[in-house]
Amino acid sequence: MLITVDPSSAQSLADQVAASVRAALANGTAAPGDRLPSARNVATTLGINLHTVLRGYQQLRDEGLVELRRGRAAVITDTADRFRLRLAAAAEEFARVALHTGASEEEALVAARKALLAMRA
Amino acid sequence: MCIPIPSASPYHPDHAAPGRVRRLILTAAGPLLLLIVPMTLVTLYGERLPDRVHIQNWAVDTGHEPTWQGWVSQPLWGVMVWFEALLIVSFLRHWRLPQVQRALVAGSFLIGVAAPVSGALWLLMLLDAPGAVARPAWLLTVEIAAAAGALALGWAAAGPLPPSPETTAVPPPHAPTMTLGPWQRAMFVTSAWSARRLLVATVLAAVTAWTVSEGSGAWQGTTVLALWTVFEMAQARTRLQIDGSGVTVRVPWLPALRRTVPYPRIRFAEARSEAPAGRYRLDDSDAGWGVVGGKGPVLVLSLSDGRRFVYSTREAKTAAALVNGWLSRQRQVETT
Repeated sequence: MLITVDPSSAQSLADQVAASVRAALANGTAAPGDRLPSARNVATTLGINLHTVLRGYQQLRDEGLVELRRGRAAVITDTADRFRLRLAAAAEEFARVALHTGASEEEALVAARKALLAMRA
Repeated sequence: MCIPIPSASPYHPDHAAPGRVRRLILTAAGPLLLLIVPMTLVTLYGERLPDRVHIQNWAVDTGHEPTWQGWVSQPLWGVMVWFEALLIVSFLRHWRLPQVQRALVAGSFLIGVAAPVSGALWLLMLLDAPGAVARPAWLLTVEIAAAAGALALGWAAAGPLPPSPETTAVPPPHAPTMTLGPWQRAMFVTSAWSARRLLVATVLAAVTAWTVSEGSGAWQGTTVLALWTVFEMAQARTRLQIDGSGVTVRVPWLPALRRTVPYPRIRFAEARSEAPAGRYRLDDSDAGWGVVGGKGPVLVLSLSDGRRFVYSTREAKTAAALVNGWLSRQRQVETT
């Protein structure tokens, strides 16, 4: 499982930790039953605060993606919805490109709808 | 038997050359002591010893004239020749691996110092003994201490190992590479387990338990079996971590047991659909080292000494891309 953070990013470090795990689930490199690296290990290795990592893990727990138990490794749950995560990851990528090009919200949604219709046709 | 000794080339530099003759001589010296110490004692005190002395599992005849022909016919001579051949052949097979050569020196000292110390004490206790002599309990403690001391002495006598070659070349264009921002930090963690190693460890554990239950007097054999069991068990489940310091393999239940490949010793990384030919375990071989659990994708690191590190993981592509990402970032900074 790959976890990356970039302190120069506008996104909070906890969000970045959670996003890394979501991305691993979305692209299939992580699967239900896999263990997340210990929060202490992540914090030490990436040079960030332990509580920051725990906040990221708690986000994932609140989303039902991982099971957290005191003193035990965080485990990806069987209910982690890979389809929904892939969709969310693709939407995020689309939103990033749309923002980068300077498109308005409406223009972006129209473009997405057009692409969907074109592919279904 | 022909043992091919690889010749040096620009791609396979012989970085093991410094100190190799010294390590070879030390490796060869140990088993000789196995014979010289009892020979000397029997020559000095032969008349005061019983006709036949048993040192561990080996018998030494002391009743005959201490001639060279007499010694060559002794079982101890065969033991010495066997150990000598085993160590020299092992050394030649690992001609380019100084870390293995150091372990062989330590093993040689174990054979050449620990066994003669135990034998010498036993022989001295038998001097002028009127009849059967009971083996004192403290002899076991002395044997264990001598074995530990001999290993440490051999390790130290092998001297410092030549430094591993380092490389600063950026990974080739065909290697998968993850682009890492200048401030980005990344870590990759995965684990692997091998049913085969677990099976081997279980069999070894059973054999070890059997030797203990049989009350085998040779504690050395039981210890070797126990250590072998731990070594195999360690490879049954391992964790791989890639971060800014390099590529590290850990044994989860034995945190002290870990090996790291720092980035300066990595040429580049690639993902392959199956492990390349060769032996890849936690210890070194001419092919390299690593953890391979059956068929399936593997992360392959091309090391600066011409060998490979191989690790089984279904995320081999991600792992290879991250390693190359770290290498590219570090080496582009170094070259600019």
